[in-house]
Amino acid sequence: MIWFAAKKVLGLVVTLVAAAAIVFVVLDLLPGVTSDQPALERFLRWLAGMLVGDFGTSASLGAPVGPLIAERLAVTLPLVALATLLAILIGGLVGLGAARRPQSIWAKAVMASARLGIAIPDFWLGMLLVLLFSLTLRWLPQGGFVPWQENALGALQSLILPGVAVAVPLGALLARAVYDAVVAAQGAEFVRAAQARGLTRREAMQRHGLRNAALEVLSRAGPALALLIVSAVVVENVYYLPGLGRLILDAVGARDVVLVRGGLAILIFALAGTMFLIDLCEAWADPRLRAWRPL
Amino acid sequence: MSDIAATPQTGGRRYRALRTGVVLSLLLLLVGFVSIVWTPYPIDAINVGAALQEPGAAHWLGTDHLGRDLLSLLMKGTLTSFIVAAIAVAFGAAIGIPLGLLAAHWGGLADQAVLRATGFLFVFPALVTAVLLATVAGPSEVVVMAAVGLVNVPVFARVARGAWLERKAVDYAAAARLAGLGGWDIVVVHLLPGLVAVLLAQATVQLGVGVLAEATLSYVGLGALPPTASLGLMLKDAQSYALLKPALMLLPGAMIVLIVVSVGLAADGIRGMLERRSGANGADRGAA
Amino acid sequence: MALLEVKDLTVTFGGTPVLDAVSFAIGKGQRLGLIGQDGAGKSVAALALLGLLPDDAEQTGSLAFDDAPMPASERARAKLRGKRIGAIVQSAHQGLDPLRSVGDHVAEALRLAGQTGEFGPQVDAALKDAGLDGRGAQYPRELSAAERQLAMVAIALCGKPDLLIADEPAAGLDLVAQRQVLDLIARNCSERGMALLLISRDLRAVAMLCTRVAVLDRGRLVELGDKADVFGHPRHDHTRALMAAGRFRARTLMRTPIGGALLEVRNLVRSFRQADRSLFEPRPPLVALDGVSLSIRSGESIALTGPAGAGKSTLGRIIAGLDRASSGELEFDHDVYHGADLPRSHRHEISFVFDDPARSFNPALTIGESIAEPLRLQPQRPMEELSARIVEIVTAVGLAPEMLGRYPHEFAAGDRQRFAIARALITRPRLVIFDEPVAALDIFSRGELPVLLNRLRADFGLTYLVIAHDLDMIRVVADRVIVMDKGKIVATGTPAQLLDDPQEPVTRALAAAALPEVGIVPVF
Repeated sequence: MIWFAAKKVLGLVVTLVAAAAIVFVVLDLLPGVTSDQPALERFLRWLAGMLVGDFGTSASLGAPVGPLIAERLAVTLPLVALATLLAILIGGLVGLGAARRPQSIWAKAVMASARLGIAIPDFWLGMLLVLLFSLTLRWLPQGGFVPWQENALGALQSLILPGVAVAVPLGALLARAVYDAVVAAQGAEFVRAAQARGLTRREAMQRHGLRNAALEVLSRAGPALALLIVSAVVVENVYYLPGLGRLILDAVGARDVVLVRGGLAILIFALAGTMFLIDLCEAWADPRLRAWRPL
Repeated sequence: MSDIAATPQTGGRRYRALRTGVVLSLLLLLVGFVSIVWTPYPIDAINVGAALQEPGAAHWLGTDHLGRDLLSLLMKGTLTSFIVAAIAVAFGAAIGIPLGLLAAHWGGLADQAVLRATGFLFVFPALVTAVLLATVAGPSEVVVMAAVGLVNVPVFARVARGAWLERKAVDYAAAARLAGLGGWDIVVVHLLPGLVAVLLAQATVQLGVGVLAEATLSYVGLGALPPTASLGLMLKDAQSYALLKPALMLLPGAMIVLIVVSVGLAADGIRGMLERRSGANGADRGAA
Repeated sequence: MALLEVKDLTVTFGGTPVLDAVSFAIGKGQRLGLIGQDGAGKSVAALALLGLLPDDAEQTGSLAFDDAPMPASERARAKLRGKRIGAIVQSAHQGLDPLRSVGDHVAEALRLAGQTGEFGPQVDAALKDAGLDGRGAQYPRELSAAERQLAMVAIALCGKPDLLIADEPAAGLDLVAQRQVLDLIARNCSERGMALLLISRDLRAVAMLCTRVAVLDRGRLVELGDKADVFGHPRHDHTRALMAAGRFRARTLMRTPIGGALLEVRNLVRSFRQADRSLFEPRPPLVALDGVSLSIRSGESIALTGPAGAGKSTLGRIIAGLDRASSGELEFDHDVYHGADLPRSHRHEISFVFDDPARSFNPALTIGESIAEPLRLQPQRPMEELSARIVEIVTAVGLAPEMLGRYPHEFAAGDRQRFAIARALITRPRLVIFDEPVAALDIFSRGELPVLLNRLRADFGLTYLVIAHDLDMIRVVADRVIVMDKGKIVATGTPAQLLDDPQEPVTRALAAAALPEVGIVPVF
């Protein structure tokens, strides 16, 4: 396991450096940013700076990028956490529930709505939720954000609708993955063989079926889970949330290279990092991956 | 040798999904194509005096905040969605398929390299690439095509690679080699037909993904700009008028869902047909 | 007093009956064999007895175990399976949880059988009995399909059940491993008085292990009685047919004159690169063929046999030009080659018949298109001659030319294999290589194939290289047998010499593993 993790850490570092290089080179194409220093030196300086939290200074906002991003992450990260939790809850409950009786009308209806759920654009769902819960029912704020330190409950409230908007399409995708994997496990030869050894169907599923199904879900839906932050960044726009998304998109309009670069670096780090964690989870559950070693 | 025959899924059901999906997709496509030659009103005809009209005889679905005809915008927006998604699919397929095939054919280091590279592209989802390109070149549909196209590259590479490896190993390819067929003949007669079907199914899936991505990126302002009509752009504009005129927001979103569901059904149908065909040898092997 | 009593067991799937009022009983320590062809309902019977039928099955009739009705509650039924009824279900080689070690499985079975204490030594002992000594820590994917099958046998027996329900326990194993499994079951029966329900299409295995035999035909029990009665005086036509099919009687009177050397194989070596375990632990290449030399004379029929992984198929594929030797050379009709570089002028003279006809025909092409494919090796021939030849060959393998427009999946395995042979003969080859020609066939087609092979050989003056592990078929079709083990040839001789008076350990093991024939010689 240690060797597997070491290999994955190495892969993560290579990915991050390569991605940073691409971001740097592409943004370097913009006229006007070239200075007298050679590009390689500026790239390395940028990388080294990021390691200690120095992302440079934003031209459009006239402030250091590091604190700007940190401030915005205080909105985006809780949103991501909330949405992840909700998505797993929705996907797990719906998928497992439907898989209990895969042939029933109910299960078929639920899975058909899951297909619809996947097709709904997250940001449009966000708009629908605003229309229903904020503008019509007036239950929740329609947008904006009170900082955590001022009113933690209010902050959480303003994250509920965006959280749901992000979570539903992903939850639908998860539900399908869970459903397919569990139904496959229920029909698997090794589950039947476990019953033949003296387990009830339920025990056989718990001891042998579900672990295999979980692994299957992780490898099929893991990337989508990691991409949740992208969805969050988009949905922030619907609710005028001062998160990472608004920061980056405003920077694009202003052609603020330093800010775009820093924001993307954080986004890429989040993506690669989540994927790394998912890989570790997979290895933890799967002895076949765990066994890898270089020596 | 299986005594327990799997309960055969009735062919009708599968084909019904396929037919529904294909017919709906073609209808939507037709709507898009019609908009090239005809829309009820020109979409750049701004008439603030006629803004936010309710549906009526003049404007069947009403008008938006600039007095543009909603039906016309929807038609053109559908066209934009399909075109952007299709070009992104073409881009991804053109690069991804050869890459996957070469990886499968050469194996070894080339295979490893392609696998690593496609895995690496995960950290460049459409939004990240679109931000990069839009910063340098300004937002446009081309940015969206490139960003979504890049996402499609690894998808096609993996599918092509997997399908190729699977088919290369079958005995009938070996039998053809013994029968004196050259490498190219084996590819054309025995390998390509199956491959084309798998890739077609994947292309359909990616078309749906592309339509969603186009709407999303246009919505956040990285894609199409006025006067181009885009469903995502319509939603962006509608946000300020949500309470005043919900139809402005409901219709484009529903259109996106309709397109994605139709295309998804068609993809599922194609895949189901593939499974039936390849399952046909396995299913009756025990038949005596 | 019966241990297991089955009365009027009927099972239907969606209204289609699969088992129809089947009744039988197994006494304590009794051993019943259930035979029948594929699709007769044997496996469904096993699952019904175990309470493991799929949800869409409907079951009626009564089952009793140890004089008490089979419990209705799932938990009690499971407990019974754990403690008293051992089971090896169909496709057992897929029956291991990929995420658990083999030893874990055995330990779980021991725990469910009600054992307590330290499982380690018991696990080791159970695996050792099944020939998997020291493999407990390995995961299913590190085992071959045959080893997984052996593991399932160990798991089923480790809890010392009173009754074992075994559905094709030796499926997919080579002759020696097959015998090992049967011996292990036999030992449990004789030492502990375990009762047995053996479900198999291999009549010899049933004859070896069982005292009583039941015959199932399309869901109905058509014959039930003592082994000696059923096999000695079969009353039902279906029993007779099954017994006849299991026996090869195919000596042809007319023999092809044996000529000079057609193929010479000299010092052939083939090694495959294996992925390294790690950077500092490279694995040596896998040597599939390790200096093989042999000579085949025209008109001869040679059988190539040996344990799984001996290199038989690799050798066949190199000769046919499908693979390339790492070193060494071949000479066909005075032309030297090394495998894939077989000169095009000779391609039509060597044919290869794959083991599984379901995989060797492109499902998208008609049978006719596939059969005609090799004809492009002889483009100079006139069309009329070629189409006449297709008709001739298809008729020769016992099928009708009208079938050529149909697709592979429309045929049963036996007919598909005949078409595969037709494709191999279409170019009028001199040497035909068969890779396990009966492996994918059901019991009836299996019986017919050697007859067909011998007739074709005589009619067309062919030379055969038959890769097979079925010793009976070898006796019938081969003039000479070559035995391989670990990439080397270990013995050569006539079937009689090698199998009746084996000298080398490998041959001896093969001959010892063979089971005696069943019943009396029928009068045809």
